[in-house]
Amino acid sequence: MNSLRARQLVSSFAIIMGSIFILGLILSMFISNRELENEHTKLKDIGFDLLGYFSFEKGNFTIDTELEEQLNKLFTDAGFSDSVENTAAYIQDTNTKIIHWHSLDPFVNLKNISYTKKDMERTLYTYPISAEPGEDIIKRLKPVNLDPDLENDRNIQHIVYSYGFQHSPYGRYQLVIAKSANTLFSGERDMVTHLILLFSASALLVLLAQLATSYWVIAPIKDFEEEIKRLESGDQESIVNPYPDELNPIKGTINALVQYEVGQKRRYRDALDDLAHSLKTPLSAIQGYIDQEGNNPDRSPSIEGVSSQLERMNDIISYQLRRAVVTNHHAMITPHPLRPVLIRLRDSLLKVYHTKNFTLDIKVESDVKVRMDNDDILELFGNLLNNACRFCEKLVEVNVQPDGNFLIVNIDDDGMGFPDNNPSKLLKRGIRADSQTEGQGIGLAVCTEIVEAAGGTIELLVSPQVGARVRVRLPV
Amino acid sequence: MRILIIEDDSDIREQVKEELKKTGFVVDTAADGKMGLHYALDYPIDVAIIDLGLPEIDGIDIIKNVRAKGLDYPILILTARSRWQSKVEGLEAGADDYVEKPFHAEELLARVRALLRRTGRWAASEMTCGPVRLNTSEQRVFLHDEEIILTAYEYKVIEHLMLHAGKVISKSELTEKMYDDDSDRDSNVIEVFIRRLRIKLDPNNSLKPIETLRGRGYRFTLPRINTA
Repeated sequence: MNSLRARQLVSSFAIIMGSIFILGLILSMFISNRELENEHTKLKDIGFDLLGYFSFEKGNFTIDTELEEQLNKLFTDAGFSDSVENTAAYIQDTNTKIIHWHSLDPFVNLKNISYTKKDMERTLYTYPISAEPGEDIIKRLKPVNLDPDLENDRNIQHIVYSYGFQHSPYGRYQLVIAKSANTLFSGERDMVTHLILLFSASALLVLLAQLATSYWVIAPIKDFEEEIKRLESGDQESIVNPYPDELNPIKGTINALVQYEVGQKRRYRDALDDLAHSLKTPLSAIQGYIDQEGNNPDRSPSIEGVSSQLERMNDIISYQLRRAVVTNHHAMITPHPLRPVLIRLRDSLLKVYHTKNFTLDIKVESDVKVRMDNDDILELFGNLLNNACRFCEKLVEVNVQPDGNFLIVNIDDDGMGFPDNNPSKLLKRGIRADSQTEGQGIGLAVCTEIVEAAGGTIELLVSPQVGARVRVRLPV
Repeated sequence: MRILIIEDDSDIREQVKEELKKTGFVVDTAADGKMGLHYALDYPIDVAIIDLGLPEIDGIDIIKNVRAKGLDYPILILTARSRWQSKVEGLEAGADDYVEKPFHAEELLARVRALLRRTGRWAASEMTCGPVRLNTSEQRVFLHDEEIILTAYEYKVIEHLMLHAGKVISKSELTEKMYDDDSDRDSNVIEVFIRRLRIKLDPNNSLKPIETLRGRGYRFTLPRINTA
């Protein structure tokens, strides 16, 4: 997940959904408890009403049959005959667990009746609840004598109310009233459904709002990213647009780094230019004296040796100083357009080779770029075009073709071409193509250094005009 | 021909000066950029040789100043900086050619001659106008392929006139091109040289190669044969 906006949306979504889940859980528990409390009050009232019908005599609970009508009304009002609520009540000895009365047979004393286990499972549910005298409890429970096939059925859960009382010396008893928890569950389900709908709608709205605001929040970062890309592509030299406070330190750091890099490179090149001037000016003076001595018929034979050593020194200085300014590929290098450099060189070289009648054709579009330092591009193509102009007859041509992450640049001429015997030797330092022409060997050796430092390759081939073709493959 | 050398190294300056003087050029020299700029702007220069690394004012700034004043004489850069950045900057500033240090005197001289020919739009070292042929590298003049023996000053006059064949050259311009700054100048001498040249180049008085334009100067009238 590399997009900031995607990160923001996913994190917002997770937080919103987590919050909704926790809030829903708390609300659900709160509403569920409140419902249970309501049931508690209802069942307590029914219990007290019911206890008013009983007579207790010598350990037996009986209801006068004359009260049947009122009892039935009570049962009806309390939902005892309702198939959904399925309410039932019984009186149980809390010590012996013997059921003394049950709402299914309200006028029968059950104490002495023996029910089968099947009867118990089918009809007379009892619950794992035991209230002390004077105590009342409300719980959600499953019957203890439940049919094993129904064990996992959630609907079997009942709301069970128990009220404890005592008849000394006969024992302690509890009145248990149980009803189906279905109504409670359906209420909870409705509430949860509503909550889900409500929260989903809220989440959707919040996410849409987040998406809209993210564009506003992320916009400066996108602009910053665009400027960095332009900086990287060489279209601008520093980050110039105003940005929010959070981005300003990064902007400052990047600009400082770029300026440092540029300044350092300029200082370094200026220092090397000064060094070149300091070293070559005395060499030039010595050369002048040798030339003067050369015209003297009585000159010493050692002059030739001095001249040759001087030339060697000059080659070494030229080569070392020129390769010292080559930018290696670990430095911060942005792609630069090739055509403007070639046009500058063409105009300069046409001046230098003014008396030579030839065409210098640059077949390079203006959007073609190479990932090299601008000075290195100038140095590389300055050397290559100068050689081509020097050795051509009528034509020098520069053409390019893309090659994946590289650009192939051909510098062709219609001159005498490279020697057949191992031309790649010319790319190594100190080997000259033409011993009478100064500097070519150094030039090609420096070109090799520049191309290799940029991560490219250089080849000496034959041009379509059967002259020399120098092919350089440069990163873009 | 008047050549300006702006070079801070005295050895190189003197060597180049001597070499050019030996060849017959009138040479002015300056050791720093400030003095060099003064000569470059105020003297009738035919070619300037300018070192790029100069004290006071940089060589490139001198070239820019010269071109900004509308002066179009050829400029040759002398540079110890072998990087193309320096050469291209110099050529873009208005220089016409460059020579890298260290250099051989003959190479420098050949470049200067080539630039001079370029100004007069002569492409080769030989200039031919009608039956008169002048070889700048050998400093020899031929009429109908027979060599004419000229003095150094006579050669300077004919070379300048042929270089600018068809154009009017004033007497003062010819004087300045022929003499050093500190030399005695006598404009009547020019008339003597012209008269001698007319006799040597046109003994039968049929060619009339040098025309006198009263109050304006002289013009070499013979048509150019090998113009670039």
